Amino acid sequence: MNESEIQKPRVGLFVTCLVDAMRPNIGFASLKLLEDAGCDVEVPQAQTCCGQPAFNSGDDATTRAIAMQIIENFEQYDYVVVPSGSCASMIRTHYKDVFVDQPDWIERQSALSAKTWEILSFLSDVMHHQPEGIKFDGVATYHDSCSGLRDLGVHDQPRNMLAGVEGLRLVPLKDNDACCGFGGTFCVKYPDISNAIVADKTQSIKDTQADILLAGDLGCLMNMAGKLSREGSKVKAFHTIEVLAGMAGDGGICGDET
Amino acid sequence: MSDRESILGAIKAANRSAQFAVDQIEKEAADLVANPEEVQPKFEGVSLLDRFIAKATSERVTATVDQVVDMADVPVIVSEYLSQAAQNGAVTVQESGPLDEMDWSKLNRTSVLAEDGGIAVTLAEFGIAETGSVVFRSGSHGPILQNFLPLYHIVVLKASTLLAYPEDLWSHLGGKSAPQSRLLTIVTGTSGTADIEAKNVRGAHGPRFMHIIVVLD
Amino acid sequence: MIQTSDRFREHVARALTDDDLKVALTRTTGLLQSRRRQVVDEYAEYNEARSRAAAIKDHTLRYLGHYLEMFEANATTNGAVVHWARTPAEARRIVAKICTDAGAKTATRVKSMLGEEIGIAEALEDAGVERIETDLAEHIIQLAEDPPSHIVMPAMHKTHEQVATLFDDKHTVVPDSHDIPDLVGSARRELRQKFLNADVGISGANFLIAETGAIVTVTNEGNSELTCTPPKVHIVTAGIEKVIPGMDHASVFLRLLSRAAIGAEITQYTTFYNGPKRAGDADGPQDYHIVLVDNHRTDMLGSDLQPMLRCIRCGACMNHCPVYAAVGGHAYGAVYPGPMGSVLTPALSSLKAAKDLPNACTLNGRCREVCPVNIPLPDMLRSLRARQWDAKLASPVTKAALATWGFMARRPKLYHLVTGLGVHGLRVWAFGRNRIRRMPFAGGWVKHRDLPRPERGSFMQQYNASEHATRNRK
Repeated sequence: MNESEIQKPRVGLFVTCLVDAMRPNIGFASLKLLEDAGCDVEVPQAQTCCGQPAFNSGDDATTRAIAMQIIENFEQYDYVVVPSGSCASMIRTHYKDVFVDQPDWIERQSALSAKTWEILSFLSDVMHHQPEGIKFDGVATYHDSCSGLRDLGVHDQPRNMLAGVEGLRLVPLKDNDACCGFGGTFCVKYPDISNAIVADKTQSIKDTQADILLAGDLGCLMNMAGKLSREGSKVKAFHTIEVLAGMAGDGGICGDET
Repeated sequence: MSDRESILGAIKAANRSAQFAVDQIEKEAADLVANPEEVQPKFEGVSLLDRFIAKATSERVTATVDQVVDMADVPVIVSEYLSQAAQNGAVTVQESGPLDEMDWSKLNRTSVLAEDGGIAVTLAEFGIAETGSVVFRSGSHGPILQNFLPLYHIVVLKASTLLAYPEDLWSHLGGKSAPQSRLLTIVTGTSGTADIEAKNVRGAHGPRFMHIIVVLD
Repeated sequence: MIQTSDRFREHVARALTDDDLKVALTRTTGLLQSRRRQVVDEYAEYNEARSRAAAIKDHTLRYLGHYLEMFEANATTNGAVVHWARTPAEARRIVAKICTDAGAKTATRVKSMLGEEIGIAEALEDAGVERIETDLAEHIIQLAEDPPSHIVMPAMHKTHEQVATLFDDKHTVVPDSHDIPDLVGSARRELRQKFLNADVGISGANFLIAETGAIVTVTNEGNSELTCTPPKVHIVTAGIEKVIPGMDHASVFLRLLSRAAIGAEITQYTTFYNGPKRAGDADGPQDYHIVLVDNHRTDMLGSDLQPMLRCIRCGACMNHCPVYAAVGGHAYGAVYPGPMGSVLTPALSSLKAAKDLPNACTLNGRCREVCPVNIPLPDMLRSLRARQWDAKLASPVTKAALATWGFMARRPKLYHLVTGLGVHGLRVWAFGRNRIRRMPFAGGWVKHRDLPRPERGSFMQQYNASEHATRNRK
């Protein structure tokens, strides 16, 4: 029985721009798990970006325009679920900062922010759903993406859910809560600093001797997997949701298409 | 316009503060510290003395401690400590208060405070159990530098002057309108630095060794 | 110190190839993190103390004029001469004049970042006074002629091997060995006479106590007391935001400062200075001056940057910052590096002069997590980016890219069309390989990382062709 008082919650799935372009499998895995958990899932057409690139560059006007679009198209749902800590946090934590001078929008923004969830924490804390019968053989290590961890408190939920996967062993990652160096626009504006940070991260990953890297944000995963790949490492990277949905069958992000 | 006027004017403009009542400000300030126990580390059923000793001898503080029942025995303890430390140099002793009149004949007492490398015995006015600290104030009872110049600093502390927390010290001294000495220092262990590669080293400019003799009065 | 934040990228390029720097940073930041972690875990009342400290600062800032006037009155009663300086230049003029009036030839100094901010070195030079730094780290960087690279450990950028070479070269008597304790011993030996013979002692203040007129220094080495007692004159320079109401309030901060900074419950010397030598005192300075400095703090007051004024200069933020750990403090080109420096430097100089600083941040939030006074550093860094945007300081490339992105993001059909094409284009570009190693316009990414080859179609394309979509379209 889920914590939501609604029998079959209506969920608007917001896949995020990165998932849309670079790894749709994460979107499909999200869809599957949400339905398995008992939700009625829709994918509104009018979804593009949460506005974070504009927000983090200081362009509040563009951020607001994008946010208004999200509010308009998603406010009808009981919940908005996002397979990304940073995009979920953008909507949940930061939208209020761009509506400071818009009293007529603040109420709508506030309502939407309150019902927007990062997917692992939604499945765990609201739907109390644990996927059953999932098998995945391997030794994995887990990286805590910054926004999910610090803004939204996502930490125990993915670990608890992964504990239910048969054949999967989790080993701790040294400095698991240290930034991977992605930072959205940061990694392309300051590529050499980003590289120094991600190189430390990939060293820690390799030191665990795990064959799988897991995390909850595609941006972080592309950054770490992209570096691992460039270094010739055989570590495969997946979004946690792909493993939990039993849809981690290929070579992972920046890996081989099987 | 003086800089003073210009700064105070800028503050007023920034804060857009209307006329405020001073007693309202005082009340707010007092409310903020009305419940010090909410930020004070608890001692968990340990006595003040035990807490003090545990902290003073901890690795982060690195003082050593002796206890003595009779104040008159202090010079003997000092002698023993110094001979164990193989230190037989001249010793300065605080030249006023109870320490001055004691029997220091077994030691090479001098009134010349060495610029460095010396040994000094001084009386702490208070101890603070929370952190294993001792308190000194400047005054006519001796140069405050007697607590900073030596290599070996031997501190005599009466157990009756042990307080739990620094908040107790302030109220003990008489609060904000009490007369103050030029300098009041809360000293916690031996001088140190971690400025080179964050490695902790003792004896930067101040004393490298601190021996606290607690008199159980 | 001359600010060179406008050459951030140049400094970074150099820092990233500096192997000695990498060794120094690796040896220190990890230790500082774990020491802080341990002592904070042991302090059950930590979170309460943090909120209380933030509340005390906010209260004081709200009534800052009242508290500064109270401090001035009480300090003056104690025998201090209180001066006010709106700008660094005025502060320098005051310090130089005090030294000249005292006929000073030498001045010992206790580390003070505010002193760096106002350019004390310049003031002393102008007054013909020999400056003697006494904190071990400040002594090291004085000999090396380096600026500070960290606000608590200014010589963090130096390995002990580099310090050994420096002391061998510059100390009157060479160190007994190159071990760190002997290097410290050598500095002790080198500076002892200078402490005792100095004409003027200059310190900063960690806190100013309004109710009693006291200033507080929080130090480890003993150099504060050795600087502020022997000379005839003691000068204190302090920012106006350092004032707090009373002694009980100070106790709250004192529990947080050394825990956050170095992982200790308290530093060795927490010293309250209340004035010049009194009648009967066995030692102490005859004259005592306090210089209160504004330097743009009144600009920050009442603005979205006001929380920055809570800062107690513990350095925890930079100890936990991945960017600081990668490039070190000198890269920031300013008195204050790291996260707090990235907020303060634009505020103390200009948005343009420190353009890169608020942007060279991943917004990961560890700084906010470890700040003992709950300063929302990432929020303020983003705020500064918004100010830069409004001031049209963003690069033309960023502006164009965001304009295009924003245009499309607000037009979902167009966006999906373009994304679909882009995904297809990337797949073609990959030439059948699983990874993309080279990509025009994505130089920043592919320089160091591979890009994955996308799937056959974007999510929205694949989804719209699926049965789920057909069902939902009803």
